[in-house]
Amino acid sequence: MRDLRSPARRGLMAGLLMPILVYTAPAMAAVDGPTATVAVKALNFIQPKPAKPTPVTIVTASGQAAAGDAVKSALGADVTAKVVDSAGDLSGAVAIIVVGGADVSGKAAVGQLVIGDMACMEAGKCALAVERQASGAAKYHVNTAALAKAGVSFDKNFQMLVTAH
Amino acid sequence: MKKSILLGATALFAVGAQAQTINYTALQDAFGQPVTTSATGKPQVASDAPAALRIITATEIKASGLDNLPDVLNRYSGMDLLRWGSGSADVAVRGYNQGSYPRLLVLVNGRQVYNDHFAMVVWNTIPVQLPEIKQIEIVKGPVGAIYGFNAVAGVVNIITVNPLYDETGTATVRGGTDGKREANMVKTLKLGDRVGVKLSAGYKEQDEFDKGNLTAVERSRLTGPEANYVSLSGLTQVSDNIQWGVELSRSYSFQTNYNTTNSYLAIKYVAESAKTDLTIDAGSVGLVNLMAYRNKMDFNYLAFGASDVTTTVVQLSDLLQVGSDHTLKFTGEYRRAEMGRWPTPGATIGYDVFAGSTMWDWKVSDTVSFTNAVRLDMFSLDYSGGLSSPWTLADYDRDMTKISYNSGLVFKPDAVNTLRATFGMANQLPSLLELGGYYVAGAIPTVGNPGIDPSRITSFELGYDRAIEAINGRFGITAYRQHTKDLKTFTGGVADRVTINRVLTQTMVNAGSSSSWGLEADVNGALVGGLTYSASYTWTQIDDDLTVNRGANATRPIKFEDATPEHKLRGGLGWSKDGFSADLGLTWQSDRYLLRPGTGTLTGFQVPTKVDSFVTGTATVAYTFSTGTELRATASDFLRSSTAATAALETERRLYVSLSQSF
Repeated sequence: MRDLRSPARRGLMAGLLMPILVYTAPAMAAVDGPTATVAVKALNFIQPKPAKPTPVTIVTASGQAAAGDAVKSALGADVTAKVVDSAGDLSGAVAIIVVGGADVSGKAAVGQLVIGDMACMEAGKCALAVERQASGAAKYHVNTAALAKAGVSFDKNFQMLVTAH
Repeated sequence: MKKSILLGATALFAVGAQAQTINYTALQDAFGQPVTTSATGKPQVASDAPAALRIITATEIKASGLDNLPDVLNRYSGMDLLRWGSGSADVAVRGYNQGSYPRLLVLVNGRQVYNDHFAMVVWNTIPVQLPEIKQIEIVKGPVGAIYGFNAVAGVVNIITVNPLYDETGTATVRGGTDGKREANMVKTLKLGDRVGVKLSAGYKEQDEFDKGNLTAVERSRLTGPEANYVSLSGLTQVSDNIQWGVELSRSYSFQTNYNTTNSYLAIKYVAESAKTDLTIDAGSVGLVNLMAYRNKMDFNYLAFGASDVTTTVVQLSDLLQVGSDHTLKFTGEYRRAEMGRWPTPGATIGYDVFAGSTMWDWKVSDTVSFTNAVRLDMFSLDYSGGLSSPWTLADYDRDMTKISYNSGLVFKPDAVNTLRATFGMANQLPSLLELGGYYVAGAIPTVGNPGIDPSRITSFELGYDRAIEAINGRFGITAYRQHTKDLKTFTGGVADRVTINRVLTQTMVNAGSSSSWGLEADVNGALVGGLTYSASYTWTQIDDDLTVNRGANATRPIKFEDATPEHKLRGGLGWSKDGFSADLGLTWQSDRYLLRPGTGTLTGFQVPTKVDSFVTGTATVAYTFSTGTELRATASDFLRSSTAATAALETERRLYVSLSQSF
């Protein structure tokens, strides 16, 4: 019978318990093109499913139209996007992407998913934010109160995968 | 009438949502990593699962150039392959591999392809073509609370493309050395927005290996494996909140298997299955799933006899989110398995299992989640037909209740580190043969044993995973301690005869216990220029405490200590650019001892036979044209003409060329 309690074998187990935890801050910056590209993938899970290409409106603060254009050019063929400023027309959009310091509080209609940065989501002004990780993985953060207020619901499988706030 | 019931169900759950079976493709695209339900029954990204989990993606399967499931699975840590012949193999998780390995539950889209007659997986009968696989989910460690009996070493869940969500069309022809010929095709079709169907079919044949230390009797049983498959599935969005799916399959395989007594037998299998499932988004009630399937397998052991085994399963589950921090899954299941007595017909043995389980996943905080699951299986054995000594009908009147439990704590302090501690307890049900479906008449009958107990497996495990940006990859390490109580063994020799009901008998028995330590470490990632890499190390050490085989020579066909290589190293390197791709996989494993039936003065005994350490490898190169045509050449086990990878037939080098067309 082999000695399974030898110091060497216990050492292997102990080694497992001492991982070197080096913190790497996740990317939580303002919504840019790559982040918006990941965020609009959530539209595939809205219930009932919107038709494709899905209309999206990108809202920028005054004088930040260039940032909105950069987001628009990054989005794929699954969406049709237009860029407006905070006073622009939001009607017809399934999703609204808030870029920079824009504020669409009280302007979005029922059924419109408001996507923004983490601060916007945590403040309840946006329903969804995306955290991209260096590994290529993404986390979807959802403000459940804002989502309910917007009258938007996701497929249950997707709902169970998001981080609720 | 049926229509009105369906409409009634629709009205009952008409709450405005759209029922969804899980869309693996869209979820992986969104979350940037594969999604699984195999660890807990709820959808999770792979890094959140409270289990040692490995998801093999379709891309990885294709890049490997391999042409069969056992070889694909053997590329990953914790897995052990015993390739007995060109068409037969046993795949184990965390050691204890043997002929007709019983400890791994294998599923195709949730339907078990584990066969209850011998409690084993006949890999060559699985009606799945590699190009139709979306991903293979390997859960290492017992997951009995989620799956019930037999998920004791782990679970392999093969997920195929979804005809409603995915579009696939591939036809492949393959030819190579040693008489290798294969053709397969997979095609999905969308019939409007609400119906998708998938058809897959395949044929393959190859010469059997030739070299190796076999008796003349065994050699006379060798046959070149030949198999064919056809599978048809459909999924329809019946209404906004109901999806209905159907899967039908049939496979035929003629091959030489290595059985539980460590010798070769030629066997013909015909496996058929029918499955249906209904997914209903019931709003606040949750995601309700009703699944029912029936598997039937005819098996004909050419030197002994034929019989059949059927397994019928009906399962109702409800997956429910309570607030934002709690997910619950309730499952009720009925299962019936039965077979005609073998190899002497004239009776039927079967059992019913009623089971209930609950899974509770609690997001304790932003960084900690705690998952617990418990399952109760109530088992009842029955027997009908002619009784044969030594057993009486009263011996077959057996009920038992077994509990399985899983618990997992996951700590993710940040985006790159994951720590995991898990505990699992599961039960391995004896096969129908072991429970009394085996009967060979004679002055001393050789029989199954309706009194044999299930094995109970417990496992403690610690794991750590880290995404490492500097190497554009990840590192993972898992250590575990596992204990198996009430091992089971097939019939033995003269010394193992026992008197049952006043009849001298040879039978299956419980055989003591065994414990193991293990460690699995993996690193993989991608480099610049289209290069990918992987490396893994597996350490397994098993310590038996058997109540059989205590004499100088073993008489029962089990001995796990030293039967699993203590060390296993694997490395892989891949490259793809501009239509070209190449992949190299290498494996080194330390020596092992496998039992073989003795000859000469050792006739009637099981003799530990050394399998020396060896290195083996597979290499593949391919070019994909802009027309969707792929030309691929693969060399498996290419380092030498044959490799003694078991104590029986040697694994031969195989060279083959594949031509695939996407359509």
